[in-house]
Amino acid sequence: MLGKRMQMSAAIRVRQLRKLYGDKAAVDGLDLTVPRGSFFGFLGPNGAGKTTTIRMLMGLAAPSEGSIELLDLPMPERALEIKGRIGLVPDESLLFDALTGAEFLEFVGRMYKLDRAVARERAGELLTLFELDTAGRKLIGEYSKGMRKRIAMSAALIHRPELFLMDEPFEGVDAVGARLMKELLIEQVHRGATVFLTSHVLEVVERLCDRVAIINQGKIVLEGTMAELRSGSESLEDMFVRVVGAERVAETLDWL
Amino acid sequence: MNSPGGSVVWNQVRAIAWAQWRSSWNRLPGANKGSAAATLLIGILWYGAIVLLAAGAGAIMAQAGHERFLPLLLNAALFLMFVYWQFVPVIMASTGSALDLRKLLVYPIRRCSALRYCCG
Repeated sequence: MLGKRMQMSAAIRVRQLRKLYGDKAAVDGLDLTVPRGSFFGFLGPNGAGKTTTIRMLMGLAAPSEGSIELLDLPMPERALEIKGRIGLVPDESLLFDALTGAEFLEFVGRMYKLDRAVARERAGELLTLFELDTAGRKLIGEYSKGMRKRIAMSAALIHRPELFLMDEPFEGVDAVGARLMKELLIEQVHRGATVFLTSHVLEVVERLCDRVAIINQGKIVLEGTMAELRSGSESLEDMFVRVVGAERVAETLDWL
Repeated sequence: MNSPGGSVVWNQVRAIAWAQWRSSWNRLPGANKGSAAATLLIGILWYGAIVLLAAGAGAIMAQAGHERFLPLLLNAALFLMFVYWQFVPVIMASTGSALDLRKLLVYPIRRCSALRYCCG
């Protein structure tokens, strides 16, 4: 009974997910369950399949095989309903560079079916929260990398989603911004939302996440709660390096 | 379009049109009154020239004996129109003054919202 309840309460459930590019499998038979209300870290080396996975979850790429359920609804059959309940911090390519920060947030709010006045009000509040008041009048195309992440994070929050899908949310963000983002995400998890993020910064993942999965060459090579992973003597970094098979000691260059 | 669902769709269509307008406006050099006036003037000159050309062609064709040029002229005019409208969206997209509609895929919008926006 408990098992069934746990199964019912998954925010993300992925079964035998595959994505082929030609003959190459970017994601190769992925099975993943992310419980609701968890702070989930999805780790992997460059090219492991993290971004492809998150793009499939966002509905930006169609899986070659397998099934995806978000918030107990199947993708893509219930995509419209699902998209209204998730907040995205995608890679930067999905921002609209020709809009100002304030315009972008208002636009995103309206896309998530908020009234224009509500969207505008929340946009103003989010710009203040993320210290983008002045920058809110500048075009997003003129933003630094950290500012782009902040505006993407603001856009993810504007409709108070139940599930956050985030691709490297802290990349390029300064310490103050990163701290604010972390605190906000922790608050969101406390209110019952689920956070699913990819990150290369293992210290951040170790501090924030209660569950972690490591993907390598399109397959999950390690998954568990942080408590389970910490039960050994290895740090997350050591474990990561070991399971992705990158333990070799760098050969010293003769000239170095 | 009186249903709540229809109203939501139209609100989203209006938001997309608004974002498109803001993108085009923001891409104007400086986006100030001076540059807006210059853009308006160039627009009037460009489209005025097309109107003058059409009026001139109409006046010439109306004269007796010129009907035989009509098929040739219409062919050329249609060809140029289609070429022009092949390039304009590409130029707008490449200069960033048009919304990339593929980016709308992440939002909860019905396909018809984007289509309505595209097709009017």
